[in-house]
Amino acid sequence: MNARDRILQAVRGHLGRTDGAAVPPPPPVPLLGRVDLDAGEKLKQFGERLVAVGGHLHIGMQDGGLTVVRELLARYAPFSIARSDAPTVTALCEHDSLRQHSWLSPAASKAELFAADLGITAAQWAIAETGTLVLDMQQERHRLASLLPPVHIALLPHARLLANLGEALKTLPRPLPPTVTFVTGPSRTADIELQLVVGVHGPRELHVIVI
Amino acid sequence: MGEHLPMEQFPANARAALQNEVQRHALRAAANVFDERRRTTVSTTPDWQLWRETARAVKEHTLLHLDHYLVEFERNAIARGAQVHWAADAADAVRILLDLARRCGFGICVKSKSMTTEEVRLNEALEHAGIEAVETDLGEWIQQLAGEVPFHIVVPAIHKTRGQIAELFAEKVGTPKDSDAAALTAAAREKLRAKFATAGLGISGANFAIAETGTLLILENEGNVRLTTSVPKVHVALVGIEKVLPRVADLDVFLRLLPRSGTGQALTTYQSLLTGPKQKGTDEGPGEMHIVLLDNGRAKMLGEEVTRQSLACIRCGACLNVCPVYQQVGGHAYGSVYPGPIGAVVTPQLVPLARAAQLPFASSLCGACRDVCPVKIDIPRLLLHLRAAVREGSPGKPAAQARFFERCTMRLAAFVMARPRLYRFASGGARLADRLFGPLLQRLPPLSKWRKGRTVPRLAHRNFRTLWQQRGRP
Repeated sequence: MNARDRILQAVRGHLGRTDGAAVPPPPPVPLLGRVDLDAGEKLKQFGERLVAVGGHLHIGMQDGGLTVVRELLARYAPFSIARSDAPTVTALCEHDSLRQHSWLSPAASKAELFAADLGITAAQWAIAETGTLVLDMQQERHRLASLLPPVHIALLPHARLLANLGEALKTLPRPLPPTVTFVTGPSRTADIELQLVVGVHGPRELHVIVI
Repeated sequence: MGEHLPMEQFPANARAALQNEVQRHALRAAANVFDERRRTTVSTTPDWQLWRETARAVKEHTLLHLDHYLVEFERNAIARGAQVHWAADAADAVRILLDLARRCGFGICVKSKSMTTEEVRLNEALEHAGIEAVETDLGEWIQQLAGEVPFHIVVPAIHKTRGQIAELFAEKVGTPKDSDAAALTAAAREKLRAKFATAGLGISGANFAIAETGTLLILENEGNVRLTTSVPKVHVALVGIEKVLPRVADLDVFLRLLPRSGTGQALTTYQSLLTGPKQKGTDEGPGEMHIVLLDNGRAKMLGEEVTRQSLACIRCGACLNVCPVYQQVGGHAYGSVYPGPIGAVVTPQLVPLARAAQLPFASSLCGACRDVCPVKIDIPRLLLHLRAAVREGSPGKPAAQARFFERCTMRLAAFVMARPRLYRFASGGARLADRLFGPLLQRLPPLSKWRKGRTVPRLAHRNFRTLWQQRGRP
């Protein structure tokens, strides 16, 4: 008998179950967290929670984030910018006023992405309750661009702001994409004397621009 | 990585740990910070008890039908292109992981924090095979550089001061001896980036495995899990069979409980939901995903309700932070990857009971662990259950004989206490004996045996009755 069958046999033996015995439905998970927020309240709460975990919130609804990105690029003066293939990001990269920066291709190699000092991506959804971005790696190529550079700028469509975690879990496409990542603030550690240090393995700065 | 202390010698380990003032201070600081944050967040969560009860009900349902959910998880993970392996014991798991590391590690693997890989002693095996396995969680990496096993579930190097870590880094990494926490962290980022860029295999654990989708979920704050599961060409996760949950919707409650109980955060910085390898060659992420489902003694805990609840644990560490024993003796004294109250009940069920026979006694049964547990595990009840099992199983001293002795002592005490004159005479005699020969009596049986782990209080010179009479009635 192989390990699989031995383990399953042991599990069934200890539970007194037989192969294929009926299983009642799992207990229901009640609705958790608030759902009665309007768009304005959601944005306010998202901003508060994001700032509380060390992120920055910007509003860029008039121009798709162009002005905010221009200011941020002037501030960080990056040598190389990683970017995803999201249309909103491509529009920024191709804009006349930002063309002078050195943008990597969305298909840049791992080595190039490791060396990038700023990454711009979109986010598929966000959760107001916790200040969390939801990144669906099937809708956008941003797995490494959102992770490797020390600064991450994320463009969030205002309509994609959800109230709470349960809503986000319900909204995820089925079948689930190969990778979905929830991001709440910059990378952090407190492994040395419990002192908070940001930017240990992921970005040390997270800017969210609501568009 | 270093060796665990012998768990058979918990009392000696604990006595040694009590001498280490720096360690005890650090433990108290961590416990206070995390428990304070946990209490704050719980006190502002009106539905906390509802969340706990929901989580426990889901866990109990899943464990009672674990075979069904394991098969469902396997089917859905395979449908998404993951390769599922089964490991009945530590040796199975090590063999599967070693094969993978040899085939695709290019001599170096990166690891994110995983208690199961520690449980099967994977790092030792990789080292013997000449494969470099780099721990990438900052605290775990510090422990690895120091040649030690992790000390705390959430903060592996909590017992080391910044000064000690700076000296360690100066020797091993070449940073200045007076580096602060930020500089040390920056040095770790740079060193470990080089490892991520070259490793062929990423090894992780998982916090939850979702049956209906074949998904693994991993929580973290640093980003090293994302790197471990994104950059190398192959990802393998070693997952205990008890980690399965039925539905994605169940995460709503577990993602609320786990970070709040562990660090007081509403959510950790990152959650990775991983469902199979990349779909096309041009996608990002590993081309192969392997999942190793580990039994290693878990199935046999399913039989009884009292032991089954051990498998509901979500490894938050809240019980460690409130445990008066753990706070004094720390993680290494338990001689196991699972320390503290939950370790004292899990370890004796994973290893031969005789080896861990001391651990169920490493508790004052105060119940603080049960009160904070987000999945309502009745740890004191489990401790008593295991103490009874240790007693039944210990050779040479049949439990029946001990019970007989105990019964006789209690009968005698009842007899004396029911007779005021006899009681007055006996307690007077005991006080006299204690005053004259107290220290000597404590060194003789039966007191000497009882004294091993306790302090015997000296009797008061005057008893309450005398004091009452002298004071006069009000």
